[in-house]
Amino acid sequence: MTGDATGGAVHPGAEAASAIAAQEAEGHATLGLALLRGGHPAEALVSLRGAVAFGDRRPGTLLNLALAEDMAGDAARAHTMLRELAVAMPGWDEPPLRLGESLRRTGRLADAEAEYERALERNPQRPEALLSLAALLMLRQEAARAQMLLLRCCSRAPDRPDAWDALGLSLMMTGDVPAAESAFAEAQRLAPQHIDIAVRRAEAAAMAGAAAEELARLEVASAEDPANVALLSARGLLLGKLGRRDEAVEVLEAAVALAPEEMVPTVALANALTVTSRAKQAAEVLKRAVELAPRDSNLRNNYAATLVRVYRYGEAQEILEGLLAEQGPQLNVLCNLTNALVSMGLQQEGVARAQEAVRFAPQAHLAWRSLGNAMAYHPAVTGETLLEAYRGVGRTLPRAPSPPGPQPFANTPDPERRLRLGLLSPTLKTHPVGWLTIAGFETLDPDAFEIVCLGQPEANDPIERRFRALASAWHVVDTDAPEALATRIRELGIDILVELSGFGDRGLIAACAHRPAPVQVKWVGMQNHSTGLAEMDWMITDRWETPEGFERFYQEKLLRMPDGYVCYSPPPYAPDVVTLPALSRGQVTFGCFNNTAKITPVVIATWARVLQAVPGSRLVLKAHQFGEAATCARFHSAFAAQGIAPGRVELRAGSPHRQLLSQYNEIDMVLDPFPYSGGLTTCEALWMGVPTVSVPGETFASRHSASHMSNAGLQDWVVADLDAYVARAVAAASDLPGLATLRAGLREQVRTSPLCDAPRFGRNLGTALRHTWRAWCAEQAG
Amino acid sequence: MQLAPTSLPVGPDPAQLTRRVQDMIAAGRVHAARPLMAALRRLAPPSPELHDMEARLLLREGRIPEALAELDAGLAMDGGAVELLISRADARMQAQDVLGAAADASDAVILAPRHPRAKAVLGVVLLEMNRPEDAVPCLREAVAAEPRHAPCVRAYATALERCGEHDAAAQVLADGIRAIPGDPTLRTAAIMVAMRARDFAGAADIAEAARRDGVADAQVFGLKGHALSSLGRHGEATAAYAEALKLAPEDPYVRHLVAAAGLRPQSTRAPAPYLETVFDGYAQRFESHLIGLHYRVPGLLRAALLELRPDVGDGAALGPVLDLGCGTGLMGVVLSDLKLGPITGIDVSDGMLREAAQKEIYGDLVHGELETFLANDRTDWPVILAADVFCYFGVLDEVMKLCHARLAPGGLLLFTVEEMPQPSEEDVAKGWRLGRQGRFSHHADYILRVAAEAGFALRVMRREGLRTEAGADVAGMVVALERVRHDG
Repeated sequence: MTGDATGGAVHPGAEAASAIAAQEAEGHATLGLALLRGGHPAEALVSLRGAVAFGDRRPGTLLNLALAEDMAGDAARAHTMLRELAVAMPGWDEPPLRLGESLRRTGRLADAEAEYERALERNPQRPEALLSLAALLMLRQEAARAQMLLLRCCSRAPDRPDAWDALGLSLMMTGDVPAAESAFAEAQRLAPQHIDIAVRRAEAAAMAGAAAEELARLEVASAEDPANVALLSARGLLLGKLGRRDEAVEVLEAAVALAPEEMVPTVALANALTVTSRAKQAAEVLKRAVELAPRDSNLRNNYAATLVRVYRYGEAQEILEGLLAEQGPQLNVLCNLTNALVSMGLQQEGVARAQEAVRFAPQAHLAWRSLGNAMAYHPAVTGETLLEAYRGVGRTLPRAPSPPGPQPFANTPDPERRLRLGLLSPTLKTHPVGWLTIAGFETLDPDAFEIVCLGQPEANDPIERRFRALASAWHVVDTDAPEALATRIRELGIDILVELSGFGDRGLIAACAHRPAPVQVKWVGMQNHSTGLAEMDWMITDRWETPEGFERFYQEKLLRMPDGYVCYSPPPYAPDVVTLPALSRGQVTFGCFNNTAKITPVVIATWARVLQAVPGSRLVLKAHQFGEAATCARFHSAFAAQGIAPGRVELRAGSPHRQLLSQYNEIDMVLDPFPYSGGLTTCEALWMGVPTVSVPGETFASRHSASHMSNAGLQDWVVADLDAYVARAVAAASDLPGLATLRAGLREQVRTSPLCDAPRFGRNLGTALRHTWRAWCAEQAG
Repeated sequence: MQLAPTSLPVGPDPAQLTRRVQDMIAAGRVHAARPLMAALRRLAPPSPELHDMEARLLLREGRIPEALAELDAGLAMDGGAVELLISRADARMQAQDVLGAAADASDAVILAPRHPRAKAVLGVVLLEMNRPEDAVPCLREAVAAEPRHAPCVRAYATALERCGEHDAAAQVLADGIRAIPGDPTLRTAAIMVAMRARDFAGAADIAEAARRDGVADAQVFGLKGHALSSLGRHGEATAAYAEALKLAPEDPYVRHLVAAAGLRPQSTRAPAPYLETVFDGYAQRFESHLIGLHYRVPGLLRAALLELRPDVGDGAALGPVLDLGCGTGLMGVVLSDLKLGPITGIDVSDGMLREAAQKEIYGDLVHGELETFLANDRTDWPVILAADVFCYFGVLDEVMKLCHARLAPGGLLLFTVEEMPQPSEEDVAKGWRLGRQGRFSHHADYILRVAAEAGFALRVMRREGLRTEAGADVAGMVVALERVRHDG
């Protein structure tokens, strides 16, 4: 914006100039102004200086010269000129206003504020000064004062949408949401294409509890003006808030297709795609958003987090390390980087970043969560150190004030009545949680337990349909804030809350810190160790996961099942088991289809010992991470350092589930990783006729395979230390007929074992849950 | 504070948006295409292409009259637009305007003789017009051009099967499965072809291959269970039903099958969607299937009727007659030489009713559940027939009462039931049992009890072999009841 030479006060210096000089000066001044308006400040500067050299001392010319200096890069000179001009023209509001604008741009907000005040002293109704000063006041949270200025601004310049928009913002800050919505409505009337205004109006309506009404209005408006991106963006936002997530994606897709350069719908689309588990598409959209706003660090962090979800760890690492280098430590960035590093198999580096996060923000549960999640993979982890990390989460999770009154729960403490179970997880579907728990819930006695699912929105998923079929009610809670979720669970009168998501991505366990149910039980779903949460009463486990004496590693009371702690539902599409591949191939093939986070340097060294002890053998590793060339190169080099040629180790990227299962037909035996063992992966290998050599440690995660193998009757594959691990693998590889016989009967053995015996598991689960309830009732009575 | 931009920063390109919407429609993302389509129609001038796109969206949304209006508008702009003609043929088919569809499809083929979709739609229209012989060459060409278009492959197989070329139909589907191994609909179609040909072992093999290939859905497992059950391999059938239940736990058809296999508490009658699914699948070959099973039921009911009303055999008129669960109209065929009528048939399967309509015997054919029909009907029927229907009911109290209420005084209810083999004490007490094939069998004492309670007098009750299955007779009873108590 430029000053207008003809609109200011009379310029006294011009009278003294000669007619020729005045003519020259006039020409330069006019050209300078045109150049300035045209966005060519350097050229404008030459002309305007020429005008002054020819004696032009008109205030307009001097003002424009100052603006040109500022725009051409010499802010200090510009400020001096504007101050001189302000002194010379004490009644003119333009110099202090322009000085304020320049100071604001250079970040000198307090000085800018003073100049705006000065401009308003000279012209109390100047809209630009009112608006700019109000904006600065809002930055300082002085919303009430800002509001007064903005009300003046709106009355003086009622046709300015930015004034009404700012007024709406100030009203939002003071909590007057209905008035804010009215202000945004006026702004939107004046600027119907303005995306930010439409979105803010929608947000205000949602806050006022009128999301559905605003959506209805927007739909009518959209029908009349279907190419209006602002309306589409606001609709998308409200659809998301109302839980209609697929529709939100559809509407926002249209908005982005119509206005691909606009940030608001682009970022909103990425968010909508993320909450609908379409991370791959979200990553594409976020990539575009980052291209549009490359300096937006939040956006880059979100992009990196999404890249991690789609297994593009290397790219994520690069972005996150770049952010740290540019801006120093930030909690979210450190936590995302931890996740990326551990996922790539860089456990030590990951834990170091998590420790940095804890040092940076020791009161942030997110930092402790990152530390616990990373440590579970670290070769040196112990039961106690992991418990300590999760206790850190437990300590720092926010808690709502206790509800008033002596009886915190309305649940009737009758030990034998039918109980309402709440299953809390956003992964009640095709997911390890689904495969390992659904059969147990299906076989719970319906007369003894009612099941309420607290999960994700409906999707076309076969295991989710099984959950839906057994649930008396289904509540979509996966984007609820923890405290609101806890209130909801309490209102549902849940007797026993079974937490099935843990501290994983989009885990809902934080709600448990608010103690929403009388009995809270942890089972599957990032169940890598104790939750460390004082409010978690019980953990479902078994004698292999937590032998006698392991109680000290757990915050919770241990609820040991008589068999294994899970019941596996094999997929109907699993290919048939084939004969031992070593017999036809003439070489033993070891395999591990666990993700690379579990493969530590110690694991690689141990596997190398096995390969060296079994001449001609090879190892097939399969994980999403091996889709990245850099990760493959790093792993090959790690094996080479242990004397294993690259030809003996095959690295395969991820594939659809059925293909993954079929690839067990090429594997003779699985080498379990440690200290984070295979869980569902071990069950799947068993179902495909492939046993797993496993060495359990102290943490829960280190003992999954030990539990599943023992539960299927293969305790002799569970060993005590690394020497025994190598010896067991070598012994099995030396007895191929024995291995072939085991393989031929293994599916049937597993099918008839407690690992897959759903009715038996369901009975035991019912007994265990009843035990927790009776204990609570006894406490109430005592 | 940024100032508001008052216009879009970059004007959207209608051509690009058009491609985007087309991609969405092709991917079946109808809802996703809607908002963009609305914008596109505002930004771009009307064109045949836009009318076609709008119509295709409307068709996917089931808004057929609106789709037809769009297509009419598009064709008014360009009468020779082949894509629009094809779309309108499709729309007219959905609007039951077969002749109109035939005209459009023919025009499309004349304008673009090598256009595979034109050939395909003409083939489907001809199939609908019951001209499978003419449909075959069209669909053959269409499949040759687009061997990965599953609906086309299915239609081609149907046409061949209706021409009696069972092996060729099976081969087309086998080729289709090779071309599109991930499409479960072709697996289902192939299983049905085998089952209609009574090749249960072949059907089970196709289902098993689908399982191994990872494309078996609940329907495939359900049909596998059917096939195995027909082969007497009940244990394997039960396992198949259990898998079906895992994949579609909410599906009433699957739940019924599972109940029949004894995996869940039994329901008291087969759900209407189950019957509809089973019989719509079987409709085309139902008669030959049942005749192949030595189906005697219509003849047995005719004999019982003539035994009670010999005058009808001598040419006396009797009617109207209600045929409950009329299926493809076999009962009507068996009675067609008598002066009975008009006959009203009722069935839950549209496919069956279409077959029945072609016999031109029935005065009226009603699509619906028989209980609903009986509860709302106000006719006093002298004769109600229920041939092989009550085997889909466990509890008969209610349906007996409804029949009683709808019979004229002295009116006859004639029906068959399957007899319970080796009943336990519990079975006798309950009176009915759900069998592995999804049908119910009944005990004679139970029939007598509910008949008496409803106000009937027993006129005929005879043990008969109803048909053979897996080489053994299915034992049943022919029952005739007369309404003697008139308080219903």
